[in-house]
Amino acid sequence: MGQFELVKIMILLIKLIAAILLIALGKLFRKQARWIAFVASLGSLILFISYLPALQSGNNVPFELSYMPAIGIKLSLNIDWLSFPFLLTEEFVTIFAIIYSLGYIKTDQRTHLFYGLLLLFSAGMSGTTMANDIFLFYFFWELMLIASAFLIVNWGESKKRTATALKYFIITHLGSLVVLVALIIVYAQSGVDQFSQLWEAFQVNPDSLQLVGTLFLIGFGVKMAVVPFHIWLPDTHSEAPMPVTIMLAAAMLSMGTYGILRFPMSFFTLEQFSVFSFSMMLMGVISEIYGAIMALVEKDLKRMIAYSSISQMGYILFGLGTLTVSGLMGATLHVIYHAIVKALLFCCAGWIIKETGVRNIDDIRRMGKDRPLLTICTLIGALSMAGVPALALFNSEWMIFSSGFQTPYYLLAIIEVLGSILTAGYILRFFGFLFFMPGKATPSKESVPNSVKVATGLLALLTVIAGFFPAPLFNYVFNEVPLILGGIW
Amino acid sequence: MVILQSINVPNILIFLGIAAILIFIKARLFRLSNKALAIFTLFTIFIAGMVWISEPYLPNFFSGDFQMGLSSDIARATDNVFYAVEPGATFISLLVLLMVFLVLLFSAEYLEKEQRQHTFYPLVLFMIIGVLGMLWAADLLIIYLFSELMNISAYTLVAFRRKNNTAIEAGFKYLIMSSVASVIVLSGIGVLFYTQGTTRIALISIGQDWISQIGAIFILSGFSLKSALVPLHTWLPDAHGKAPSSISALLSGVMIQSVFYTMLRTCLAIGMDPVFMGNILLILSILNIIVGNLMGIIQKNLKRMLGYSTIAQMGYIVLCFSIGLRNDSALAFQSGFFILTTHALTKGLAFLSAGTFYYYDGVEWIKDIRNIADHPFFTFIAMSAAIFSLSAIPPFPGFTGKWTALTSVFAASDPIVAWITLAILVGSLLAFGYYLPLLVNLSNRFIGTRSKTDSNTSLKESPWINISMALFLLAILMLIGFPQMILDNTFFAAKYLLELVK
Repeated sequence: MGQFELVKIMILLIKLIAAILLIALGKLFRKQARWIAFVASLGSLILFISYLPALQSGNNVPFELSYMPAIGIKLSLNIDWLSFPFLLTEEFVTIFAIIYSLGYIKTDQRTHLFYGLLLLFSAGMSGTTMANDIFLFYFFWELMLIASAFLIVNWGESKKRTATALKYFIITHLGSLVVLVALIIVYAQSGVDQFSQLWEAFQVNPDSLQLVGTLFLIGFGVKMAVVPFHIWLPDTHSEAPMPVTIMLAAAMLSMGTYGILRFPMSFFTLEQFSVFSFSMMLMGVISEIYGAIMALVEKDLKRMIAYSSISQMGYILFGLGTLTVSGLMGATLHVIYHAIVKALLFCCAGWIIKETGVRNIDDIRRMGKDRPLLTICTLIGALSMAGVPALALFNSEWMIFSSGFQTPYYLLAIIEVLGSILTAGYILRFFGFLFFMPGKATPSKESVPNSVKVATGLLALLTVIAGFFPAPLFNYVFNEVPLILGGIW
Repeated sequence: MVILQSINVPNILIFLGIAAILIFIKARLFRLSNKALAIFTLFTIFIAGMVWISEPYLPNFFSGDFQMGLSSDIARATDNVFYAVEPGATFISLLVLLMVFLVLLFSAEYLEKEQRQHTFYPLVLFMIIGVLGMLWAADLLIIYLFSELMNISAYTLVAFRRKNNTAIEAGFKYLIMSSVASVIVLSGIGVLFYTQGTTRIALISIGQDWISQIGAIFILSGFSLKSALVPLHTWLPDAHGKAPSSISALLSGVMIQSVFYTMLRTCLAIGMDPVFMGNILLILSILNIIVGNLMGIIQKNLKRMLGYSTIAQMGYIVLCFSIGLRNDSALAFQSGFFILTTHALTKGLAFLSAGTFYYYDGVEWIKDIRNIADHPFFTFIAMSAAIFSLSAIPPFPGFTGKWTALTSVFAASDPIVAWITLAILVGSLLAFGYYLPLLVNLSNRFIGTRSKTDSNTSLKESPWINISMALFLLAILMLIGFPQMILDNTFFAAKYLLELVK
């Protein structure tokens, strides 16, 4: 086992081991639980960054482990340029969520379980992106779902947490089963489960082409929460405790995008996949408009940001559906930028809710008074979400919009661009209502822990940096293009 | 059929029987405590298992070094061969011995608060004799006699809590229904004896004779009732709900599966048409999956719910075997054995966990779990693992089994592959209807707001219960780590069944 191979496994194992340790033995070191979680996720992030040279030199061999040779199942882990952007997003979001919860989650008898499950959730997402075979992919895909459902059912913010968690679990699990059917059809036709061999062995049968593609798109569409598969999202995101919401909104939504890129868009060639192009773009536009309109009328702070996620997923699906280089790159970049900005906005919302104890937009006034850091951070988040140039989301939105005009569907592209006005509308309503509407300033009820301030500040800084220096990310993301749709552009 | 030359097979059964009687007498004479009885019984099972494992012919079944096909010559030549051990039965009997050992370990603590333990352990031993004898028998009448021994012990054990009226009712219901099945089986054997002139399995060949075929169908339907195939499943939820948990684990984990396997190999060996049989079993299995899962949703009693889950899981097992019969697929048989093994271990663990709720807190209802006071956190982990496996969450072996089953369906390109896939998936989706409320209640109690894990008060965790459940968990972990192990070891069992199909 080479040095890099070990590093690759440890990215995942360090979180899994820490999670199991916390769940099984956490009672013994309850006070230190949060620091163990922090160190584990930081270690994972550092290992991931130290793996970058191997990826750039092309020196990455998949880690393989024979599991069930009788039916051709071999567990395999790998990081390639396609999984890189998603793993990057996920690792960063985890560390911010954990920093955020250091002070946000009160230390009590079950703290160690919270951090254990949070790490399991995070390990599920890392594993999903790192898996190089179907079996492992589905395992981590389900691990992510179960850990997050456990977090919501036990740490949810209101009395409805059980119902919400069940709704979340059942709907997303239905999506998972749809994915499973598609995976098994592909696997049964080829008889192997390694991705690389699968692409070669999979003889696209014209009968099953439409079926497999549709199943994959529906299944991953549920995870991505595009309309009409979005119904689990607003409840779940508003119900989950804030660190979990950050993970759900910023990192887990992108797993749907990853699935679409990894499976149907790696299987098929450009011609074969083009049958789905129009429907994907259409669903993207519908999601964008629907999410934006719902966000525009929503009064609940967290629900509003949750609807904004549906809208942003619409952009991403639209970008993927264009089947152009700039569309794909734009969509992937949008995943990363959206993660940063959405995490920032949820951090700010969590700050406001924690400080005032109110979640309704109408009841919060003049938050900016005596709170410069909160004002600046929220402003950065809001402007960036509205697509102001030089801040993070502008770059990727630009690419997605421009890709729309490279397709024959001009009308959709125009609606897509016009729809972004709605985005600006709801985000400015959010910011303006909270900070500039005249009225009596909402008093502080309790002080906000420093960890919340640190996480929010760092995310705001990252938003600015990512917006001003997009070049490195662009270069990294560009490497994924040859892996998609046969790589012929 | 392969004949074991060694004389040990009947000796193991005789040894177990004598031990059962001795334990009963000793318990009456010396007023032994529950733990002492359990230790004696464990020792007995251990000796029997060791003798069985050290059987020189045994490794051959797993390495393929045995003669395939029906050696009716041997059966004809030797007059008194009543036992003929074959690979599938060997595999299941090892599983039976493992299960009963672990379950008795649990009972050593679990039955402390009950009365009349001196009847419990001998009855368990008699039940095991019945199961093993039935699996190893080579004669229809011997099979019948051992299945009766097994069933009579099982009725009594179901009604073990005789102060509880519903337990008596469940045992009685089981007795009535199972006796009807016994009569049907016996009629089938009678018909076969009338047409064929023998009850030795190796000598019977029903061919096109319609009277013999009716006899075979009698045997099939009678044993279907005993293995709880819908629509003759109604005794099972009552019996499993009311029996002591250790007995529920045995009934649900290995007993009905052993009956099913005996029926399968018998009907195949006497020459029933495999495709016909596969079709009947396919319909029954899909009914099992649907009825078991749907009825499970409306259950409020924990063990009754697990009973319905057993019906559904039995459906998956039968489904695998029926796919194998329809398509001559070795992989389907292997996945049948795989699901059988995983189900035995996970359902056993689930029933034992349910037993700890009864033992520590006196809780039988799902909704009460969230309010119980002190309870070991370990139970939560064990029960969750069992439920995850039963509801086919990767990487638990329940998922691996279903994956293998689906693979075999696709690989065999069965003409109704889409429907079978749909049945499996809809079944596992419906199953969440009853597993999720249980999981929610469990997590509310153990990690939720009601958590009282800090109060280290009077609760005294029992090492017996913990060790037995830890061993179950270890076995499940082994299956997660090395699922190939089961597939390898059942390869020749599957090959043997294929040989019977031809």
